[in-house]
Amino acid sequence: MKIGMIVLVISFLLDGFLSLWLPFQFNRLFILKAMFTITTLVVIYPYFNHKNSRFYQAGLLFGFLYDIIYTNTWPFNTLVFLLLCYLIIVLNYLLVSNMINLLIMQMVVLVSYELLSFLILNIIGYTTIYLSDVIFKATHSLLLNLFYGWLLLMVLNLISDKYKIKRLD
Amino acid sequence: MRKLEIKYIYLIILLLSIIGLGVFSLLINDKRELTFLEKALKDSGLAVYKVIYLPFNFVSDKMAQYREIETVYKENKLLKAKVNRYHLLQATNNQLNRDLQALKEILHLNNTLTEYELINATVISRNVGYWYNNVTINKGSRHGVKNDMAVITNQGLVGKIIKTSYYNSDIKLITNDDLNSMISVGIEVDNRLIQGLLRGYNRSNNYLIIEGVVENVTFLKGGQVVTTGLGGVFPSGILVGTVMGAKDDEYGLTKKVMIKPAVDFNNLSFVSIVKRKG
Repeated sequence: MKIGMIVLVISFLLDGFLSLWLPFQFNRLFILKAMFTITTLVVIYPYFNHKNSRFYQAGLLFGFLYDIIYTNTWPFNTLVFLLLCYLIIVLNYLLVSNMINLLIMQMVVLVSYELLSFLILNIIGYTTIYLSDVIFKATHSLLLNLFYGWLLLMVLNLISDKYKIKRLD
Repeated sequence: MRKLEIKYIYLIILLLSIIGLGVFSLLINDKRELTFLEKALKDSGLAVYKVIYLPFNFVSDKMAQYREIETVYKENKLLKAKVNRYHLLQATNNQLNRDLQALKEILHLNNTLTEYELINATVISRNVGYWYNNVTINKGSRHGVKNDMAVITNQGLVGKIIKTSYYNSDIKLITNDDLNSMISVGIEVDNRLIQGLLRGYNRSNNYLIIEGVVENVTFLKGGQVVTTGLGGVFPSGILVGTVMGAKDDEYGLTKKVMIKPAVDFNNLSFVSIVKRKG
């Protein structure tokens, strides 16, 4: 679990750092929109060894930090991250743990985050988002995030093998 | 009995969702001031963030310096030629300033850029989460930054301050629909300004839209668009962008003008906050 939290902190910081380096305007979005905190939540779930309450707490904490430090939209991300944690737990229950399924889970979770943002932010009138924009952003940000998820999984597997860190698939 | 219970559960979920959305719309609001706790948490979080970012910042600065060295020789040659004309220009500028001051006193104008001072700031994170159109900078209320202050770069208008904590602030960019609907602008045509309102942003093609232009004139491509100062938030004379094209609106009553933003938002590293003097 400790390793999961460390990776979450790194990913959370990377989300901020990379925002300064990568283009963020829609017409130049391409494939480079980092959403590493959410990607990491999917990858690290097995390291929580099915202690779901701890996993929810981690989601709650990083959603809260996301709101306070990056987006100023408390409690939006706090609750959305909590819902995503629930989704990750359900997906882990339904799917067998392997690389392909992990990538599918990441895709589902990232797209769910976009759709939830689209629904809630539009309903409360915070900003105007069109569904076509959501689809464009979701599809164009997948590649970088899936690659990061895959890389993270490789590194975590190496570390957990070396230091005999327990993980339940 | 069981059916009834399920019905109740659905009803409770529906009720909670509605209440939740209501609470969201109250809390997720750019006009809401941050509470003391939020300010403290944001500042401490960003302090840690800045410390960790220092080595990255160092590398990025060095890379930028290296890139600059490549062009410095050419620029130096150009600047040397300009320096000779500097004294002449300065004298002209002083005279123009005196004339401007005198004219402003006659016309009782007090909303131009000369009545403002600039607070320089560094961007520390840009639009994380994408939809929010927010940029965070390293100056806050302790540096004199307040909500609604205009933010510019040497290229033009960036946006306005929407949230301030003690040592950091958030800027809402003009590419956000909610913000740009409040900006009154003037489009330069034949040495006069045609009034209009910024009313939208096309994400896919990166242009701002001006609506409500009633005058029937031909807008030339490349014409400058500046703030008029009406509304009191943005000082007059700040460059917003340049005209890309114009067309009639759907009713044929007014014109829609498409403008290319002057600021390259993807290269936003340093900004200046416009603060009224005194």
